[in-house]
Amino acid sequence: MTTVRTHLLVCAGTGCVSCGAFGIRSGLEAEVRRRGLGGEVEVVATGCNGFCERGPIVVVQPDGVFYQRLAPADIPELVEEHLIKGRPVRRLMYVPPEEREPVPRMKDIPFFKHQRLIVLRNRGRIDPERIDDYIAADGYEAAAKALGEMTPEGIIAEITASGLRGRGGAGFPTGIKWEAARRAAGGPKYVVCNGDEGDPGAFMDRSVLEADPHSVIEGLIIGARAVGADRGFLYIRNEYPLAIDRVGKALEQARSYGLLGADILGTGFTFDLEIVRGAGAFVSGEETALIASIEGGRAYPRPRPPYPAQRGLWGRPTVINNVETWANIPSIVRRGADWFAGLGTAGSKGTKVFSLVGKIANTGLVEVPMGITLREIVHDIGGGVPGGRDVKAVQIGGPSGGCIPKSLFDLPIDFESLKSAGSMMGSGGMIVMDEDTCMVDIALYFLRFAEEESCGKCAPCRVGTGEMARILAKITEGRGGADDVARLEDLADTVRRGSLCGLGQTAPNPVLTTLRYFRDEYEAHVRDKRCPALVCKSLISFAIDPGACVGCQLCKKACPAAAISGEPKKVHIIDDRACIKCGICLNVCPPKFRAVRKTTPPASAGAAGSTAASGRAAASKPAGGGR
Amino acid sequence: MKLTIDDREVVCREGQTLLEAARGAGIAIPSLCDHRDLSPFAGCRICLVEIAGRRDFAPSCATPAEEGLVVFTRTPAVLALRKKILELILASHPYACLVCAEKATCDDLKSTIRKVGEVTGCVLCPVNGDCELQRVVDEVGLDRVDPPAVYRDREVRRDDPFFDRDDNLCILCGRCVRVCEEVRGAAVLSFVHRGGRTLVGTAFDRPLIDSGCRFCGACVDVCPTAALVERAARPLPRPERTAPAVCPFCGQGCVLDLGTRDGRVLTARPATVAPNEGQACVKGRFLVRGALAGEGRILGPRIRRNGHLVAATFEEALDAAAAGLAAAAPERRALVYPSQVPLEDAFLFLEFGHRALAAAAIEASPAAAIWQRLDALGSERGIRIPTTGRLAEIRAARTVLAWDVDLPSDHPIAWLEVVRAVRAGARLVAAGRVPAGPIGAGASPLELEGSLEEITRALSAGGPAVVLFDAAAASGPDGLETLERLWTAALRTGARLFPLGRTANGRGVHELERAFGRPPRERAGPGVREGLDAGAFDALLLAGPFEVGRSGPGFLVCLDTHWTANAERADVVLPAAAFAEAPGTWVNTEGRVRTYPPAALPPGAARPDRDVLAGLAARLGPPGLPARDDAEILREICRIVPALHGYDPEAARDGSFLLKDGQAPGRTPEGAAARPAAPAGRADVLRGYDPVAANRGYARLRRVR
Repeated sequence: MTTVRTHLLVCAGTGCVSCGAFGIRSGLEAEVRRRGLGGEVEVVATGCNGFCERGPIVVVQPDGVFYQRLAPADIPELVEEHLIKGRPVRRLMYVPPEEREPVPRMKDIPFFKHQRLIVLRNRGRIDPERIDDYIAADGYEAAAKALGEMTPEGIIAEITASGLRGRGGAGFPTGIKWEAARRAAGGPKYVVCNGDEGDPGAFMDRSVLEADPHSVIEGLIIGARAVGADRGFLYIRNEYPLAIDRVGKALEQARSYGLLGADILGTGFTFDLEIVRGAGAFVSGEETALIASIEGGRAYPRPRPPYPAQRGLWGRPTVINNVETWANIPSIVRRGADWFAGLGTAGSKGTKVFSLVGKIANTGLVEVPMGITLREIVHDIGGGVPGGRDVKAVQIGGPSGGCIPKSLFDLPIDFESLKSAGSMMGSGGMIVMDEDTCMVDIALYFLRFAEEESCGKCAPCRVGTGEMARILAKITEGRGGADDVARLEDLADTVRRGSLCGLGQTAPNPVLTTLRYFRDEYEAHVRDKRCPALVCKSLISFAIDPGACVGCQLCKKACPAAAISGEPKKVHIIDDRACIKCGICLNVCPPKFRAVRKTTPPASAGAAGSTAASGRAAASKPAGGGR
Repeated sequence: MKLTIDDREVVCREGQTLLEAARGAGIAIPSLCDHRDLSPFAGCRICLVEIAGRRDFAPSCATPAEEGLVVFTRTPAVLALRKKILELILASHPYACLVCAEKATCDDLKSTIRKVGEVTGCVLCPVNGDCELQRVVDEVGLDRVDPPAVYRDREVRRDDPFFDRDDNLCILCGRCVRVCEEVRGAAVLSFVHRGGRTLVGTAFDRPLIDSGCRFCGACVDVCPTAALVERAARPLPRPERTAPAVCPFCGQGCVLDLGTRDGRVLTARPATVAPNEGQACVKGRFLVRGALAGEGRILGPRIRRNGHLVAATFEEALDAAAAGLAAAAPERRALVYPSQVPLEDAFLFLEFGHRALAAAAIEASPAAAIWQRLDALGSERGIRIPTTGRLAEIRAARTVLAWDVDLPSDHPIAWLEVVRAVRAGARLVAAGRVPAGPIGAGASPLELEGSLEEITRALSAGGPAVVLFDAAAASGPDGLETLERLWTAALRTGARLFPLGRTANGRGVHELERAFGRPPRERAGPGVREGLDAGAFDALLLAGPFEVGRSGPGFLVCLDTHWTANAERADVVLPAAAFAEAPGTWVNTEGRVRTYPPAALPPGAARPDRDVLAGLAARLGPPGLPARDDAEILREICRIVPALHGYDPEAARDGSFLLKDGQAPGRTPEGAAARPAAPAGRADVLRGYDPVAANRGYARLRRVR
């Protein structure tokens, strides 16, 4: 075995790949060869590093130096300076916002410093396409322990004692689910990995599958042994080609190492896995719909009970857990239930992976212990909102979740606290919203998503979500009636209690939470015909501040509707009747002038006098908008 | 097990749903997507109930009853939620009439404007008054709908035969999708698109006729609205009464509920009794009305004068027919009678032929080939295959061997049992022809020339096995050898053999034939076919489908329901009542015996065969036919046919009487070989039926409308 002095770990998660990581990798390889370092420096493509905002990323080990936002042109310098001369390249390092000095080492960067890695323990460290890398990082040790030293009852007891709960959404205790499947009469039994991650802005499962597919496979092997399954399925949505590719390679390697197939590790246990590709329906992530999809049918959910653990795939006992849940299993088995149960809160143990997106400085994937506050995630790890704006809320749990307002940012996050706040853990998508986000508009977005992705089987979800979206659209267009909010609440109740599956039952959550925390915004839309966040086009006008306009004519030239008039060097005026509210004028107005403003209610609404007054009042940031 | 529903203790069986348990106890829970023949769907959400100790409302149609469960079906929360959900369902169904203040008084005034093509409200809907959605709206007590109506604005699909598909009326209960897949094994219909755009459609939106649809009409029958509606019934008035009748179009003897008005059949729906249990096929479901009232019915007697058939009174025609028949010597007379008529008529034909006509050749047509071959097997090889068995027994099989038989087309009800067995995990083995569709696609093939060992192996895969075959297996020179192989394999493996007859009442008429035997030796000449070709007959009374050929008899009387080439060339044409227009007893391929009164009146001057035969016998002089009523005739039949001993038509209304099997075979009909398919005539009007052509027929109907 050859030893190399330095590893260059190139992040090859989907985020970095889409901004050129493979080019960086081949560039590095070529440069390393060219400089004669082939024997001592190895370039490794790893799974997602997590700090997606900063891609493409290269981490130099064992130095621990973190390079970010690399371009192919940076490569010769990086190799020359760092690898040959031993001088890390400061200009390619990460500089925290509001600071000037770069942070050279990855472990010192705030984004990484506050994380606790279990599921993502191998991220950015190993080549996901090499099983040897995984084995070198203690991989398959837990499987060997489970198969060789533990009884099925013992495994389940360990998982139950760890307090692990399903990471897919509802947080059902994993040990209890396994126990039900183990006790269920009839066979064969199946284990299924739910990789149909469909929430907007969520990419935890994709990253785990791409960065560390063997951890999921190992979890499935242990689970299969515990419940007595000899066949398992990895249901991965077809929009994740890289994940499918890497899992496929991992399965082949595991088979060739005798970790899948007949007589695994000489223990007499037989188990194999296959990939089923999902065809892109959000509802397929619902476990009974996922079963129907694997069976070859339309992804229609069916009522529970019976639960899949009793009657699942082809009517047989089936354990379905999500990617992150499975990836937790090997660590729990290897390090013991007590270790895992020592992390987190009373009811929610261990860590949770979140994807941080939206108006946040450090977009990326983070794994944090349960019980951490939103404030820590958003500010300490996420670096807050870029551009100095204020955070307004965080949307957690995708279309099934809800918006948690800033006032609840000190809430320790776990399954129960999120539920009591009207949201839910969901799979862990976090969308950060700042003051420029209209909460009615956000609710409309999610309801449209729910309507679009409703499978159409049951009436409350199929028709109810559409009807809610229609009322929300009406409100955002300024046509909301006095009783529309009450009708929304009424419909939300019907959809929540009447729907067949989790998708429908939770679809009203975005509306219910925004109504709960931002009711004043709804009322502003309905009663005052104002959009406090200045988002809803029907409720805003664009106006030019006569005191700020220098008559540069940029906006006039850019306006596609010829709605702006004004002589050079004279104050310009926007004709509200002609304006199509595209916002180009706002974008082209040079920052040093900032003469174009949005106002609400629109200039065309109401009596002229009051419009002018409130228009001026709203020209600056509206009061009450970002409470 | 016991549970409590609405504070009442309810006893139900293991495996029943809450909905079934409640209904069993007389507690009504409204529902839309539930159907007794289909798996629970839980999609309409109307049947939600509250269960003590459970957080969520439960769909009673899909929730298994459990010991000790405490269920509430009418709490204020449940009732309110049901209303809200029903409102949402109605939001995409033209509901104006459902919640109209005048709906109670409007129907009487507007009952005729249902005939428009586009349905925008109940008064314009072909199923108005017969709509499950209307019923549920009444049950739930909805009087206003809050969400605005969304008209899907989809063109009504009329490009398929027999029924229209109107997506605008669909409430997506999924019954059609489920019945097509679960019961019929066809899986032609499916949900397409998703979210608010979800519809029921076909793969790639092809017409049904290009998607493997057999137009059995099961989807139309389960549709709770008029999203699927029989096209031909659309312009017709609503039936006033319904009466059961045995379908005459094949040997399975489905019971149809015929909807009639003024003695005319307007609709045919499968009855929910054995053997068809609410199912039918395209013929029984859609073609009965056309066969009875469509083109080609012989409506009045005709006599040939100066080379032309001219109208005559019934008495004149009977006189002419009797005179012509009497003019021929008895040994030069022949009778071909229909095998697809009630036992009473077949009996009278036989008695008429033997006694009054004293004919030299008497034959039923079409020949009951499979039963004759089985008799031949008995007399030649000493092998007796048990022939009486309920088709429903097939569903319990673990192995089904279909021996060169097109089950979905020729024996659709037997096929449904095969579908049920296969869906429950049975293995389908197809020798020769492979059934079309997804179920047939999974069949394992077996060579028709397969050795006994191969057949035995196929049947001994474990669990009960059945072998289905019809006359195709038994025909040809190797027919008896094939039957013997199947019989031996069945004997070795314990498999059940199911011979499937293809003609209605063929089995019953065969039993009668055996009781009567051939005409007395001294008169026995050649068969009718050979005799005609040899010019051995001067007079022929032709009442069944038959190819007379160029060398016809000197005198031809045609007693038939429809105009055929035979009738066109006959000397006397007598109009006969068709099935359901005369009372009678039918025996299906299972050996199931049923007697029904007439459901409709014969059209024009048509009369039941028995009346015509009585008239002819009276004119032919002694010995004539004894005067008896239907009940007396049936008693006589039961006396002479051993397999019918103890048959009581009243007690057997439910179809519980099966022919007594194991009777010694009667005299072997010598030379009774399987005949080639008979030409059109009598209940054979559907031979060569072409759905596209049939559709054109209905298209014409539509234009008239």
